[in-house]
Amino acid sequence: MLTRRQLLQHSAKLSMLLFGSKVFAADVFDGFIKLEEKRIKVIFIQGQVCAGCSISMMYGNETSFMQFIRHIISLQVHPMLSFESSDDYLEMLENTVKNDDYILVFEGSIPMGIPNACNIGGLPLKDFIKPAVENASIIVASGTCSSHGGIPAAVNNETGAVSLIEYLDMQNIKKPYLRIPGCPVHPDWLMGSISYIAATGKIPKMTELKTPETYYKDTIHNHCSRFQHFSQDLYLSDYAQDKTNCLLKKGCRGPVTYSDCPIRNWNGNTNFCIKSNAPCVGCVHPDWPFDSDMYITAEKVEDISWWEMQEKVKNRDNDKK
Amino acid sequence: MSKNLKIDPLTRIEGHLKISVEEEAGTVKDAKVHGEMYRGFEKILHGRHPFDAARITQRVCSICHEVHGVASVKAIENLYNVDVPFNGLILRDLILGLHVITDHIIHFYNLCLPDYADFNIISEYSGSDRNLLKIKELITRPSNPFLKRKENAKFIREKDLCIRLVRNYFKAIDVRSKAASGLAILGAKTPFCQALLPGGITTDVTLDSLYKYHKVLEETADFVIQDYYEDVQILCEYFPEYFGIGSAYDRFFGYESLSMSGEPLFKEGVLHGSKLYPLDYKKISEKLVSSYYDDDGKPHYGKNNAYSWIKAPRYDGLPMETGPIARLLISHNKTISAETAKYYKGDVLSSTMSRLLARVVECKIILKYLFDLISEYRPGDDNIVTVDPNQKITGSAFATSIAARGDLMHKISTVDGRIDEYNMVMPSTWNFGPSTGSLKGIVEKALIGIKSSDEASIKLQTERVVRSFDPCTACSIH
Repeated sequence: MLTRRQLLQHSAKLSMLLFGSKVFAADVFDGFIKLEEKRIKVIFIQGQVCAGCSISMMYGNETSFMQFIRHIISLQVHPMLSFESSDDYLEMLENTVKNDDYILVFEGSIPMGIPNACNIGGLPLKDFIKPAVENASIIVASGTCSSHGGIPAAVNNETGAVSLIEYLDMQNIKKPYLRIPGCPVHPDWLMGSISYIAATGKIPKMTELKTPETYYKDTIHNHCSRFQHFSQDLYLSDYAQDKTNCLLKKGCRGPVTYSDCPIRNWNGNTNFCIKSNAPCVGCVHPDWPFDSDMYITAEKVEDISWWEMQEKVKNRDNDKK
Repeated sequence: MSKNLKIDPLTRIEGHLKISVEEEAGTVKDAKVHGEMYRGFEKILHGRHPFDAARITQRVCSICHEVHGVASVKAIENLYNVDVPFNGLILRDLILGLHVITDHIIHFYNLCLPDYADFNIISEYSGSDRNLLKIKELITRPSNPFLKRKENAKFIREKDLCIRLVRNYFKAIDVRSKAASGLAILGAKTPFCQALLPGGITTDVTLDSLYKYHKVLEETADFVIQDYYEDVQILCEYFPEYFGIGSAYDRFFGYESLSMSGEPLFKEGVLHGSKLYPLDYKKISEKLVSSYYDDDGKPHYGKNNAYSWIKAPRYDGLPMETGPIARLLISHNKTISAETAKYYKGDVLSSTMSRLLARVVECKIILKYLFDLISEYRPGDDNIVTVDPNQKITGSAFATSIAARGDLMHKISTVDGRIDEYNMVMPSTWNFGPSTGSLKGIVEKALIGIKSSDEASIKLQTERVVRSFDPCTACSIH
């Protein structure tokens, strides 16, 4: 049970979160007295999706989905979980959206070229999401599609898919937002970031790309357990033999991809791509899935066209001399 | 006077789906399944390196990405003429099998069960089980996703049964999460197994990783046999009428799958009535007449007479049903007949309830296969042969895979080492595809004939029938 003092502090934080100012703390406090307990409301909307970001969230890692919805947030609607369908489901969504005290988590991209390439409740997605976007207190772009466009927005896409962030720009909607990229999103990155907001009433410290620093400030390469092999120029050429060598010459995009996968792992701290001897494909990267080939066989590191650190490696040879 | 009823959006599925049914004098006379989302994966793959398909096609759908991973690498291997080491094939089946089981678990509990059991009954719980008290707190909040308007229709409302089912609804989420770690130990992570590469599995599988996989499999088996199987039986006993609701054409097909320990667990064939015919791949085609595409495949929303983004696969011009029930009718007819006979007298058809039952029966069959398969793994042998991506191959190939919702095919053709065409014929496209002329799609056909004088009941039955096919719109339209 919270003490009165804790409750007041919490109210101040919530006030900050909801209104960007602490002056409403007393109102929030009154609200608490009425409701006894108030968790931040969260709604999920999916656009052009594979559903991977929600599935990933439900798998959990350090964070657990059940703990998340029991103790951290007040989950209002989720298209894959909600028991109601059709008009009753839309009504539940509208009931939350008419107030402005919720976090919107959006997954997937938005087709702007062919708006009807994604329809919900008889509306093209771009119109369907507008009220939910406009009234949200904070917008969380979950996954690479929602953050940067991802696969639906790749070269040759026919639907004119854009990320949620581009959509905000196009519609001239100004809202506090954060990007949580990843294809799919890592459960800890998503639930951890929302938990931070719920606990502090603040948006976490962010990188230039508006991704939370806690998870995205350094490259996979710098966190990598194979960095020593890279330093010694020991590269994998045969997947069956060199099982601990650096995967760079196979196309690993760890050096240009910012996330903490190597120290965090996935699925209950079990494994992750490089640990499993598979090159990082850069699914967190803004350019994912890239124009260039994912898998290559490079003779020299200088042959890797997309690698912005080539110069440093060349210099490293000079340094040795 | 006929009346049009629509369900838009249908929740608890993957992707976006709208259903409309035409009701007249208390009977559904016509039905349409509208696939509501298109992304254009096949077009996005055009011009890319073939290996990229192994990564990109998994992202068609996160809930069943493993099957796209396997189908795509197999197709690429057929194209590059690669012999995969024995261990690589074993590991792939270990991934596929466990995946299918977990997928059936989420389908039954998290997608279907709320249509049959009244979760509100948990509010009457007055015991001291901490887990149940937490669930009660969650479900009785004033606003939450687990609320459902009170239905007049028949729901399971016995307190003890409901509490058991509600507990298992949430337990299923934990079981899947643990099973995901079993998939990750072999496939790198999930969703999206990066260790699936043309040539085999990149993972350096040690015996301790197989121990971990085995432990996960044991825990999954405990849940399947002690909880899932029994819970499906509760539904079968409660709703035997659904063995007679939601049948389609009684025409099925299946590809061969899970064949690493002698006889394939599931055989290839086309089943019509009780007759099994050999499958001729040349007879498979995708029709566009009711789909939002021009004849050249370009997207065209609003095309005349079109109502869905889903294409319509046909076998020899006819719609075919695929899924666990199809696999069992083709390869394990006696088992599924004996299970069905406990609740329903009459021929075993694909029906709403028989599809739910078939999934858990299939889980038990696959579990046995997986336990046997672990000991086939040869420690010390290679899991992968490295395939050179620099080969400039021109040609075409295809491959198939088991998938939770039916059987899956990937086709690839390349020119000078780049993808020219990539085509995925998905189980949910077969089942959820629209009509061609007078031939309704499988799910549409299954909805026709639903009876009730009450609109709400028609809608509820419609949802039950549609969800029994495990709609994956993310797969069906890609």
